[in-house]
Amino acid sequence: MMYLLRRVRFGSIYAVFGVLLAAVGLLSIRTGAINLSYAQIWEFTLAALTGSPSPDSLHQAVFFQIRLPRVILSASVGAALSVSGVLMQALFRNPIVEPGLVGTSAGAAFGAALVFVLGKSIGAAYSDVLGAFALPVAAFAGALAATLAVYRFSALSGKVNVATMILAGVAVNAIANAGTGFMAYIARDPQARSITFWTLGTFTGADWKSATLVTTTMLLCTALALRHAKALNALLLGESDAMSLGVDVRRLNITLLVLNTVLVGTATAMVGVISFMGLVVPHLLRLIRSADNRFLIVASALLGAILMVIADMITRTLIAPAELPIGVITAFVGAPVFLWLLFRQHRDNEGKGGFYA
Amino acid sequence: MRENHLSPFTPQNPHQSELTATNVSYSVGEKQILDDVSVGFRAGQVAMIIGPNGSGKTTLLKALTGELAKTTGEVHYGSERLTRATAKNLARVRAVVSQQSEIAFPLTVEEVVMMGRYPHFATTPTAKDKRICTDILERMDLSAFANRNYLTLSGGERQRVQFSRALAQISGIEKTYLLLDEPTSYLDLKYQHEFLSIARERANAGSVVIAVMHDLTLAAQYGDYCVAMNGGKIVAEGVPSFVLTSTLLREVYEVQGVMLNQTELKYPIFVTSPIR
Repeated sequence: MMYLLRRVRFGSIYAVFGVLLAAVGLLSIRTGAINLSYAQIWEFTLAALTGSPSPDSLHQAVFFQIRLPRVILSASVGAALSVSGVLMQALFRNPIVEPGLVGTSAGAAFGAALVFVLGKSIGAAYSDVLGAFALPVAAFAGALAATLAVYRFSALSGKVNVATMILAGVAVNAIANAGTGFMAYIARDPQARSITFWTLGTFTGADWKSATLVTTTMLLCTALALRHAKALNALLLGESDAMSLGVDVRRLNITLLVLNTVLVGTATAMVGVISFMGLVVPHLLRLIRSADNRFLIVASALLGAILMVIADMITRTLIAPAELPIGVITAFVGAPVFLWLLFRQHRDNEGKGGFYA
Repeated sequence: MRENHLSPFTPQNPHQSELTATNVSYSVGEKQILDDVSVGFRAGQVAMIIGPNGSGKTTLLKALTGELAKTTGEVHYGSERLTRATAKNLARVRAVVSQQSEIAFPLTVEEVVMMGRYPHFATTPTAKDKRICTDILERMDLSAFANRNYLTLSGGERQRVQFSRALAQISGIEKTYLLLDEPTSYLDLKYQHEFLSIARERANAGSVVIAVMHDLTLAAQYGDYCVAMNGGKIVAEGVPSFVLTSTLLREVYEVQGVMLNQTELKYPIFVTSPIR
């Protein structure tokens, strides 16, 4: 299985993923409670480009105000979480790390829940404009605090210890989830319902504002991460070897931590907690082609976007006209994949190396 | 003054040394791991750091690389103080092979060796970088391994890959620094000699080569200079024939030893047994 596509150029893989993303994106725009035809989509796009009014305002509104921002948001969130997985795995030098495991997502959710419930109580200083910023900022702060705590604990001895990392992750996740639960408990009813729904992730609230915010952040952070791809590769050898290859490890670690938490914080603030994306996507890519971070960052963004658009499409169609939380799909698919990877790794390495190195 | 009751004490003049440590100390908690160590290493020489387990050999090497955070004292590369040198500039002339690598990802042998070229190119390897990697893989008999997963290699094979990475890093430059921590620990006899011959070549070309070694016969055979450590201090240094004595074996290694000085060989062979 390793390096299935060993001889395929990175560029060709990007191109295939790009075409696939466009295809599933288009399919996802069509599908839902109201189905749109390709002719309609073409007509609306043309109308929007030429500025002429379209006769069918209901379908047009579904296309522009609901479907399009939703597909863009889901693609960006998928990309953001997958790239974050790549960066976290490099930071912790372990392929099982993902935002859900080390508390990043739960921390972001707690931060956002605080603003959600207490925001209006803060008083006169709170306004809608401030609220729009407060949510991602609080999510970022929560994500950073949680990740930093787990990283510090797991690297106490100078080298990341896997067992300590997982246990610290369990503890930090428990604290953050308890905090979110407490917020849900003291919240008034509509807020509480949305928090509960939102801890499993949802794209129902997708609009142009959230889509623009997540897409911009994702593109910016991915571009920045790409600039550090070489250093990320060197870091795979361990901190001391990376240092002797000319990497300023301390600065790189801080950069990684910040990029990670910006990616996860923004995405989580908008759509809630979605787990296992950051784990599965980079892992699949390592299996089929390469562990080179230059490849992983770009390809994870594309594949993550593809898979998230598909997952979102499933949530909208499986029990239509109702919707499933997206986190249910990613966990139902991602967790067994994770277990299979654990099993495979154990079998191939007879328990040594790999995840436990 | 440093204690030295083991052998004639012939430290090198620090002004002629390319890599010097001056009054370097390092401790973890109460334990003093390096105790006021001063030593100089010259270009053109292969220097061997020897000593029993826990004597501070690896720690001294790490102090020389700058990897240890809280050391006291100074390390100079040429006339430049280590703390003022940037990691990037140093990486272009200095390669380090540590005892074990922490790779947990399925990198290929070629990818690991290419990392040695990272300090030399911006984003993508040039034709020169690729040629250097190919040449080194061939020299280390790793050409057939180029696409193998590093995680599936044996200890000796991994050591060859790491050494190749270090050689790729300083390839084509004459005055370099090559620091090796037990480079031959997992190697079979052929590659032990292959590694140390290459180290020898690098030194002859004008590099500073320092290796932490356990095998005294190899240390004597390939070393120009020997630094013996015990209890965090340097207890003897000088040319191998001065340092490697039966007194050193008894007092530092706590074994009985004889050296067989075969006339047809230029170097001694050590035969040791426990002290009764």
